[in-house]
Amino acid sequence: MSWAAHEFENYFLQKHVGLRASFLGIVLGTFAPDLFTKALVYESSDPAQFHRGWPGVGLTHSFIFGFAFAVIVLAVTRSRAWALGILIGQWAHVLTDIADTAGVMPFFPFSLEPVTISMWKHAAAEGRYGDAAAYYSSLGGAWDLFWLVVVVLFARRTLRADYFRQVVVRADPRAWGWLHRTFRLPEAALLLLYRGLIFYGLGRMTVWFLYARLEARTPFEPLWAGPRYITGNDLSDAGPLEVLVRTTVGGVLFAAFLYLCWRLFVRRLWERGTPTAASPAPAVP
Amino acid sequence: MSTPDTWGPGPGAWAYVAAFLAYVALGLLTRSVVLNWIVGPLFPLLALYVVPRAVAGLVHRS
Repeated sequence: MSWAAHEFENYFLQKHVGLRASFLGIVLGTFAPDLFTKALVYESSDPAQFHRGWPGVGLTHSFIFGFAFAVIVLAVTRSRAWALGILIGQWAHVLTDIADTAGVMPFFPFSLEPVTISMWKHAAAEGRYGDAAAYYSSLGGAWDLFWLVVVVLFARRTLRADYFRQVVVRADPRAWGWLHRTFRLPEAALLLLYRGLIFYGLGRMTVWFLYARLEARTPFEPLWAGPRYITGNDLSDAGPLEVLVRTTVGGVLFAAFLYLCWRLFVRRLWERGTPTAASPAPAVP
Repeated sequence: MSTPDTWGPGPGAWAYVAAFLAYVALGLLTRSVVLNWIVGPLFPLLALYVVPRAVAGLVHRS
């Protein structure tokens, strides 16, 4: 699993979607796969299988989960900005988690084959603290750092106050307005809330890295498929060609499923939804 | 051409740095108390807005 990368990627996604999606929707989307399951993962007898496999809660790390979540939100709230934010955020989470050894099933239920590039070991079997120490002893920590650098280099303007005002709030005035009114938060406080995720990502990256070095004293092995002191936990014995074929078939079926859903009911939900702030204003007759 | 508003109203860069150092120290000492999905993202709001405001309110009252 990825740790702080999921916080950093919110700002990178925000820069690219601009006024089209809600930042809070993106955040909910990136949190969604682990939101209801992460606590249970550490209690499981086979954490990798439970977290990413089937049977298990691996479906939360599939594109169909984000799609279903976004469609439900669109049907209930009629907010295109929130539906789009949730979809993009959840799909980004799925893609990010391809990097550990357990991988994800992106095209569940059309393919149950886990897809992974095995950059570092999925180490939830070590418990929460052991998982953190293993992650920040492997390329996982470098992955977090990579996302932080990406945000600093390419999306730092999303952290500015004027960007928050002109893009983030304008894209989702109802939610930010509600926070402002309900909790009596002025703009200064809303900005602190908005920047809280990058703060949290950087903070937990620093703390867990220091914990791994100073307290757990786990060997620092930023090598491919490290750290070596964790036993392998791949969920599939399939070779690369087998994975490629199954995933391609799953991907084609999933695309057909999306198209069918769009034609049957999603287009109608989308059309009755509230246009995003990026939508062109209706022509005046 | 107007200058971009980087920090906006409220605390400046040094306040964020101080809050960050406090967060790291608390994280190392307490771990799960602050390193979770609720307290973590809310920490800047709590440390730089809610707590100072509450303290100022108490001082003003006494």
